[in-house]
Amino acid sequence: MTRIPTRTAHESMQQAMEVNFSRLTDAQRQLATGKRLNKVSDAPTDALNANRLRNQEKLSNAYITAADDGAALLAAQDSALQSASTILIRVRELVTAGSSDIESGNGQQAIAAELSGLRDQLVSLANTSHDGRAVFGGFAGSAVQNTGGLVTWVGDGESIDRRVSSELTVSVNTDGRKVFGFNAGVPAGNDNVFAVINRAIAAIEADNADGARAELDNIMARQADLTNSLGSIGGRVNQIELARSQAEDDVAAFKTSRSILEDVDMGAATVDLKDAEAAYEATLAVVARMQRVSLLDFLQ
Amino acid sequence: MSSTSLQIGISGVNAARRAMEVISENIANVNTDGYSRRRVEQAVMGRLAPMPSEVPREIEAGVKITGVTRLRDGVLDNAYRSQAAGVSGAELRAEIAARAEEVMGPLDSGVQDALGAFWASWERLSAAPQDLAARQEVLSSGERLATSLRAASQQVHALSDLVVGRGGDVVRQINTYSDQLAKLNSQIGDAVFRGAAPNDLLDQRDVLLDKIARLTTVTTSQGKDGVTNVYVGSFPLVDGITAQEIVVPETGGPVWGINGYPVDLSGELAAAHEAQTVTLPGIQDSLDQIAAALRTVVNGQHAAGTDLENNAGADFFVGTTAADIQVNTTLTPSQVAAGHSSAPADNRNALLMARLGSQQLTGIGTVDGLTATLAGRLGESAAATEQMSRVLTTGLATLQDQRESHMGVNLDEELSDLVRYQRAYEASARVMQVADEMLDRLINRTGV
Repeated sequence: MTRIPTRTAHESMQQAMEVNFSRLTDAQRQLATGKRLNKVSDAPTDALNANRLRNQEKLSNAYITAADDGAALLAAQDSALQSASTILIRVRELVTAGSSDIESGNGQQAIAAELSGLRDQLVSLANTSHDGRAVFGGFAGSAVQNTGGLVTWVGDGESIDRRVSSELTVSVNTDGRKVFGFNAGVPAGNDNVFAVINRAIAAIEADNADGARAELDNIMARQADLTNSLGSIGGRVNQIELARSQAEDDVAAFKTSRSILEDVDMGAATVDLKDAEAAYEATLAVVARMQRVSLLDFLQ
Repeated sequence: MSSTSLQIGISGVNAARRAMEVISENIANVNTDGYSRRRVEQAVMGRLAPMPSEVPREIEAGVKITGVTRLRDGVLDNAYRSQAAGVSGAELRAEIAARAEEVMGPLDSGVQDALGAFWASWERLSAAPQDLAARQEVLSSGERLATSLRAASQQVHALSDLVVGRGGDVVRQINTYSDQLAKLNSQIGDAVFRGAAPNDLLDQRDVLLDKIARLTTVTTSQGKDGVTNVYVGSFPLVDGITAQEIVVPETGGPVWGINGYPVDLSGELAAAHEAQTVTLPGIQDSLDQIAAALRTVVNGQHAAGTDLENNAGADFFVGTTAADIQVNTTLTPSQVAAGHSSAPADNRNALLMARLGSQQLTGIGTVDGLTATLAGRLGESAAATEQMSRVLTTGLATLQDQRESHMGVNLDEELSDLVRYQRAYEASARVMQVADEMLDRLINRTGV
C-alpha cells in the first residue's frame, strides 16, 4: 500500500483545484475573446494557414479596388465613345447633305460651321479624362491637340493595366490612335477622323460635292473603328466584373475559412465552460470535505 | 527483582518519551521542504548474565533506543535527481521558446501581417498610381513592416540578454550549492566521525542535491565518513570537502565547464547555453536574412522603376539588418517609383513590386517564404517544447510522489503512533508504580 503523506495529499488537492480553475478560466477566456488561436503555437498549421488567408484577403481587396478603378476608366471611355458615335452619325448626315447639289451656299456655310463644331466636340471627347488621366492617350496627359482646327496626336500608345486577380491583368485604356484613325503607315494626319472632317469641311465650303462625297467612306471606316473599340471595351468590362465578383467571393471565402481556423466554436465552448464549472465545483466540494477529516476529531 | 522492574519501567518510559519527541518533530515538520520523517529504532535490552553454576541466563533489562533513522529511499532519490535536470531544462526551453514566439508579433498584426499589407499597398498603388495618398500608403506600410522587423530584432536582443542573465544565475547557483555541499560534507564528516547521526544535516544535503540536480545532471558517490561526492560528467564538482566552480567565459562562448574544462551540459545549464549560443542567434540570423532579402528585392525592383520626378527609384529600404532596417526617410511620395516613366498614370513598376513577395532569391528563397518559415519554426518549437516539458514534468511528479510516499509525514499516522507510545508510556509508568508498591510493602510493611 502506498503511504500518502499529509502534505502530498494536500498538494494534490491544491493541484487539482489549480488545474480545474485554469481550465475554467481558459474556457471563459475563449468565450470572452471568441478566439481559438492567439499565437502560432496554439496550432501551428492552422495559425500559418490563417495568416496566409489574411494576406490573401488583403490582396483580393486590392484586386477589388483595381477592378473598380478599371471599370470606372472603361465606363468613361464607353460613354465618350457612345457620344462620339452619335456625333459621327450626325457628321455623316451633314457631309451627305453638304455633298448634295441642292444645298445653297448659305446652307453649305451652316453645314461647314456645324461640322467644325462637331470636330471640336470630338476633340474634347478624344481628350476625355478620368481622375486627371486622358483615357485615350496612354500615359500622356492628353490624347490630341487642336491647333486652330488642325488636330495632332500627342498621346502615347501605352497600355494601362489593372491586375484584377492573381492571374488576370486587364488593359483598361484604349489606344486613341485606333479609335480616331491615327493609323500607323498612313502619312500623318491623313486618315484620322479630324482630318477627314476638315477635308469634308473644305470640300463643302469649296462646293466640291465629289470631294465631300469621297470622305463618306472614310467616315464610315472611323465609325467601324468606334464600334470595334466599344465592343472591346464591353468585353473587358465583362472580364473585370467577373473578376471582381470572383474577388468578392474570395474575400468572403477567406474570411469564412479563417474564422473556422481562428474562432471559437461558440456551442462547443459553452459546453466546455459548463464542464469546467462542474469539475471545479466538484473539486472544491471534495477538498472541503477531505480537509475536515482528521484523526484529531476522533481522539479524546 | 523489583528494582529490575523499576529499571525496565524507566527504560520503557524513556523509550516512549523519546519516541514521542521524534513524533513531535515529525508533526512539527509536516510542511518542511525536504524533511524526511524519522523513526525511533528500539531494541530489547536483554543480556546474558553469567551464572556460576548454571548455563548463562537471560536477564530482562528493558528496552533501548538504538537510533533515530531517516526514512527515505536512496534509489528513488537517485532516480529523481537523474531526471530533474531534464525536466527543468525542458521547462526553461519551453519558457524561452514561448518568449521567442512573441517576437513575430500577434497573429493579426505581426511581421507576417505587415508583410502582406506592404505587398497589398503596392497592389493598391497600381490601381491608383496618380494618387499621392496611395504612394504615401506604400511608404507608411513599408515603415510599419520595417518597424515590426526592428521590434522583432529588439525582442530577440532583449530575450538574449535575459537568457544570458539566466545562464549566469544558473552557474552562480550551481557554484553556491557546490560550496554549501562541501561545507555540509565537512560538518557531516565530523559528526559521523564522532558517531552522531546528523539527520538534519543529511536532510539539508539532500535538499541541496535536489536543487543542484535541477540545474544540471549530477552523479553522486558516497565517500568516507558519510561524505557525498558530486560529479558533473566525469569531473568532480564537489570532491569531499572541496568544491570546484563552473565557469562561463566572459563572452558567453561555447566552452562552459569546470575550471575551464568543458563538461557535458544538461538541465537549465544546457538550456541557457543552447539558447544563448544556438537558438537566439539562429532567430536573429533568420530575421536579418528576411530584412536583407526584403531590401534586395524591393530596392532592386524600385531602382528599375521611375518616379514622378523622372528619376530612377532611390533605395526604398535602408539598413543592413533587421535591427536597423527602415524606409529611406528622404523618400517623398512622388519619389515612389510606381512606373517605368514619370507619367502619373504609369503603374508598371507597382504591378511588379506587388509581386516581389514570391520572387525567388537563389539559395535563399522568397521573402514571404522566409517569413512564414520563421513564424512556423518559432510556433512549432514553442508548441513542441511546451508539450515536452509537460510530459517530463508529469513523469517527475510521479517520482516525487513516490519519494514523498517514503519520506513524507502523515499526520494521522503520527497521531496514532503518538497514542501508541502514550499508552506504552502509561504502561511503563504503571510498571514502575507496581514495582514501587512492591518495594514499599517490602521496606515499610514487612515485619512491622
